Amino acid sequence: MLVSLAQQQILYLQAEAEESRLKVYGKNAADQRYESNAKSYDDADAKNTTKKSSQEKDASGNTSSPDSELSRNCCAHAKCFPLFRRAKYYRKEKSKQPPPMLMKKDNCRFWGEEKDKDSVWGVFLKKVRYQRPSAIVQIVQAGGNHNIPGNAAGETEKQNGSESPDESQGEIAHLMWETVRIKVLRAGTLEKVVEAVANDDTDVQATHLSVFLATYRTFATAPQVLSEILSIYKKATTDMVRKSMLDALHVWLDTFPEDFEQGSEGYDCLHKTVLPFTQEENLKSLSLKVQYKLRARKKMKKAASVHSLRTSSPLQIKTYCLMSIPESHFARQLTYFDKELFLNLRVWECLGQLWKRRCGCPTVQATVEQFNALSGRVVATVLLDQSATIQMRAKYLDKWIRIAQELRQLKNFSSLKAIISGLESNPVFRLSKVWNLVSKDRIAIYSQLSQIFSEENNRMAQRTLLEMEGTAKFPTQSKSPKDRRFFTRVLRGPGAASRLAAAAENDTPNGTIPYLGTFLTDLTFIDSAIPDRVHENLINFEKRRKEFEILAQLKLLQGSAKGYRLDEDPYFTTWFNSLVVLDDKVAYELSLAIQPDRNPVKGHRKNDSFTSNSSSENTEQALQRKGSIPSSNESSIMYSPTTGNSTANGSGVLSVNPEFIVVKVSSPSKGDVMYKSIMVGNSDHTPKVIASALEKLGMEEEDPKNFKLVQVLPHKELKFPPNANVFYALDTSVHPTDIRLEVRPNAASIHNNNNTISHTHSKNSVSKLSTRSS
Amino acid sequence: MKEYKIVVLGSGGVGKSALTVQFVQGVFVEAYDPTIEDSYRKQIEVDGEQCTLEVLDTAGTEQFTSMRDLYMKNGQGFVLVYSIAAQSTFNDLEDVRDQILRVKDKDRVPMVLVGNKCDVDDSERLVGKDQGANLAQKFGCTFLESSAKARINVSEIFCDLVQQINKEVVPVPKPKKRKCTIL
Repeated sequence: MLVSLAQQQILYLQAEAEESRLKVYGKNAADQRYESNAKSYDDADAKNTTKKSSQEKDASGNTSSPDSELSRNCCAHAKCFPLFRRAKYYRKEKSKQPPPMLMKKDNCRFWGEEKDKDSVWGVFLKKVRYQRPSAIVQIVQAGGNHNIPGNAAGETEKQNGSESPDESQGEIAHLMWETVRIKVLRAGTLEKVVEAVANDDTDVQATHLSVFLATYRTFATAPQVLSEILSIYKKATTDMVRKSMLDALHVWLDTFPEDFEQGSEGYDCLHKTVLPFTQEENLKSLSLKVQYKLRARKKMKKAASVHSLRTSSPLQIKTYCLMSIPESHFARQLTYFDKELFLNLRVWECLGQLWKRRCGCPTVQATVEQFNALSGRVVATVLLDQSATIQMRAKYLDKWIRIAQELRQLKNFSSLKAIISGLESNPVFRLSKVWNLVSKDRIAIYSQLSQIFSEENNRMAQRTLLEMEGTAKFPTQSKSPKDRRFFTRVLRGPGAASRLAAAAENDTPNGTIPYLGTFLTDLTFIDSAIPDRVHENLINFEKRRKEFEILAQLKLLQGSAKGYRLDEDPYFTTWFNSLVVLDDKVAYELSLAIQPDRNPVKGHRKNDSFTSNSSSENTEQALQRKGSIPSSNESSIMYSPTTGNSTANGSGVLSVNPEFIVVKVSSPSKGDVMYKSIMVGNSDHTPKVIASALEKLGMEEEDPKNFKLVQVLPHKELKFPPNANVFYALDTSVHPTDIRLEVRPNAASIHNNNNTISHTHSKNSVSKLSTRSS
Repeated sequence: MKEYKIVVLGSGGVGKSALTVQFVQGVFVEAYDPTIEDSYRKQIEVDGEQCTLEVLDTAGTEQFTSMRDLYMKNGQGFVLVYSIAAQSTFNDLEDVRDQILRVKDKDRVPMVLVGNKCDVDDSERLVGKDQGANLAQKFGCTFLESSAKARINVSEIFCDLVQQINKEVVPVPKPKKRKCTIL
């Protein structure tokens, strides 16, 4: 516990340091930024994150909180525990409301839209700390109660900053805040999109550049962009624009060197358009820099090819087999593969539009191949080996579950998911005879691991976990010692507590490798849902911003994946690559050979096993069950006999302490049809559950103290005491996906809160209806 | 309120995600966010009854082939989508359907075959309507041609599937008497 607190502290401090670096960079504009190599891109990422979190802050605090100290803390917080999702809930609620007149965004108020022939701009008024008039930004208005005439004619805006306590000490002293006008490009022609890189506001500029460079491939080619940059540079009338264009090129070269690889269009174009400019004063430095970059790149490539030669040499000295490799070594080697793939991943290849076309996405493709290779090997190792008894096969399953456990500890969600997919693929999953021989504890752990990837509620469990652990150094640990014991068991198996502690002491940093599929799906959906072009064929830059939010998360995780300290074991690699992968149909036939279809009369078996299991449920409910453990009528003597299919989150697992359970929550005034899901951990008490339920239901302004928590059961209700451990108090006799909780206002507080509550509710429900009815 | 789990399957690029978005979201929303919990949950009325649909769309992860079984296991009804402008996407579906039946261990599963992008010009059409209808007959399922872009037959797919699922689930007589068992 102490250890983890200390880690948080460290992360917090790191984040603060990061934050102050950002501040400096803000002030000295672009100068320093691009010196520090590829850093700037990361900075922009961090900004992107912090922006969201302060947005969230604003949302909860109704009036825009002007305290920059607060927002700094909040930024730091976001850096440690990225709050991507919570911010998003807020946005969604927002979006359901009628078009907001005033949109809050990072201390920004949406002021309006400006349109001209080839661009659309969102105009925001942003409150910033007052700087002496020498400040670069366009000041609209400043001052506490005094109004200094704005120098942007015609645009007046009320200033609502905090008042300085020492207002009487002269004019400057109370100029705490000023409002600046910020233009953010929403859509435009390619020229405008490139031109917008030059923005008065350094924050906007950095973000725009990052978004642009990460996504431009969806609407333009490298040569097009290059020539656009040069033409703007040549036409430019101000130094600021010229400088911005040069900076853009620098960052581009630093962060996306792959665009200028030899033989690519970008490379040719660079050679034709930039390199000849060695004579021109301004372009000289750029030209030299490009030359230097290209040379450095060549050297790196040479080194890499030597490396690959070394590893590809045939090595067959040690003979490995699945059972002989220690799980931790196995998992570390898999993580080594994944880490290499993930660090080499070019995040822009994940963009829906590019990935859908399935061309030019080699790094994504490689990740997918490794994933399939692992799943395939799981299936093959269990099914092949014709001489193996079912006991032996059960040992294979056991082994893979242990490896999965190790992967969980390493936070390698990619390989973890691949193994789970392999185990749950039909040819393996249907072998109930084999599964029945796997120990009860191991099955429980497996259910827990598989539940991480439940598709339920748009993969909420997985997203939440990634959000919690994404950039943390270690997997989250439960608070109570008892839970922690189970937790370590899930993670590493019995007796692992000491190893874990040792790992913590040595402070071996761990990264995170996410399952890429979720990101690919999200990006595909953004691509389908939002048009590429708006306002008569202008590039919809808002869409790119949205895509960038997701790419930035990947970028952040890539940063954390650098934390892995792993070495390759070439023997393992050779062995792993030599394993056979089976074709779907072959695998199924092998599976039938191991356990023939017991019941040749198809179409009844499943239903029978469902209905015979629970007389109180009707079949539809039974059919909705999520299978996680193969169900079999024979299994009745084994673990969780009759509800085999529901053990993933069902009562079966409760007996061995799962980490969390997913429940549905609603509020009476929202109507009982609309519910949200929350996770209840095994150390969560009533107030915490109420608070998270309210937050999820979009009622975060409410005071949790004014609410009580009730479990809705078919014929009765269960009221939780004010400080109960909800997890253990829940009535789990109902179907596990059907645990419903309600937050209700306390009778006493109804009078006080009635208005606000009903107001919020009606608003929410109306907006919900409006989006859903269509 | 009944809940239905619908799985949308088909090769990459057939417009699955567009179909799903069109169904779940309806009109274009500027603040669309695919990452929140109820992005793919939608209430509709079928035969006078309200029901909630959870749509699981595999868009973007088609190539994670080992994941298919997992998706299929959890679904009650399936939408098999191909693009009428790409023959290969049509040919892929027979394997997909076999896989569903294997995973479900049944001869029949609620299913709708969908020829998407029916808004394209005749010159671009590569899979005829009769081909689709024949395959559907072979599968013993409903056939619809749809267009997410032109909003043709989108909600119809899902309504039909709900009806199929309702039909499939024959109410099972409850055990006649519940007796106390003394162990």
